[in-house]
Amino acid sequence: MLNENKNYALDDFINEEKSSLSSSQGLGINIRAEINFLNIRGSINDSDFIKHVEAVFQQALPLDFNTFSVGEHHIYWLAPDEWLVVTEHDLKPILQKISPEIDLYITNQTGGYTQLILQGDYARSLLSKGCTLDIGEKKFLIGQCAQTGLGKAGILLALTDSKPSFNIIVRRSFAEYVGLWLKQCGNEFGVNFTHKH
Amino acid sequence: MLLIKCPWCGERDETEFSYGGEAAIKRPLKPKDLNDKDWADYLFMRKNTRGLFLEQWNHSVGCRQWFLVERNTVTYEIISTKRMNSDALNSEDSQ
Repeated sequence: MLNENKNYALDDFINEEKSSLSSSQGLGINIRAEINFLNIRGSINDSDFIKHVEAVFQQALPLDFNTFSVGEHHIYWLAPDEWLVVTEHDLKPILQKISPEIDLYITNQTGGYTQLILQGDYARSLLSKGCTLDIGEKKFLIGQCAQTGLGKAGILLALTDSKPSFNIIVRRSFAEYVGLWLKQCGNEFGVNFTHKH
Repeated sequence: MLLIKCPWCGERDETEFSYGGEAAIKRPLKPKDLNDKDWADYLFMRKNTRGLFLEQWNHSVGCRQWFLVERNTVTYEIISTKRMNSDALNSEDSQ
């Protein structure tokens, strides 16, 4: 069931792009396949819920708004009662650790999302062409994430390091649109696509 | 373009939000006792205030939370935004 869908969003897009790859270091886009997404909902006033989630994932749940935690997984804050876990690990052993005694809701959304990593000197310039969020160096800091718009698509944007590297998590059905948007708008920066399994 | 301060996410562009109309409308406690006119009034009739107006907005692109916005409908100035909870709504009743 999990990980059996090998036809990833953007596969066709990448295959067409391979013929035109450049060697630019200024801006790269890495499309991640074979990663899993879990949506978790629960109350922040319920300390049992927080303790249990942190024990299951062995990682802090980010309680501050618009931040994410990094460990074995990436856990993003989505809403006051909602988080997104992005992980390379197999979901089955994780899900088996969830206790039915705890009041929480967990949904496997692996089929619904795609992640792109936008990296390089011009990443902020490229994003600011179509993102209404202020992603200036002093406004959008490492460890912050935000759900916002890019072009006409809704995305989850997160800054992970100072290269800078942005994680862009987008609905699978919007992935091709975002890919094309980044390609067209990144043209002037010599954008370079790669595919990482 | 308005910058609206989401009580959770901070200042965001107007395009990230959707409008939810007049705030603090209470569902009648005994709907069965209402005549059609009063029920229609509850369902459909909304104030069209000139000046300070309490509204509900949703941060639909971001955290998807409903919150309260006090806005001047003439100048579009946003006086305050706050989280939607019973305390916030009850304080409006007493004014």
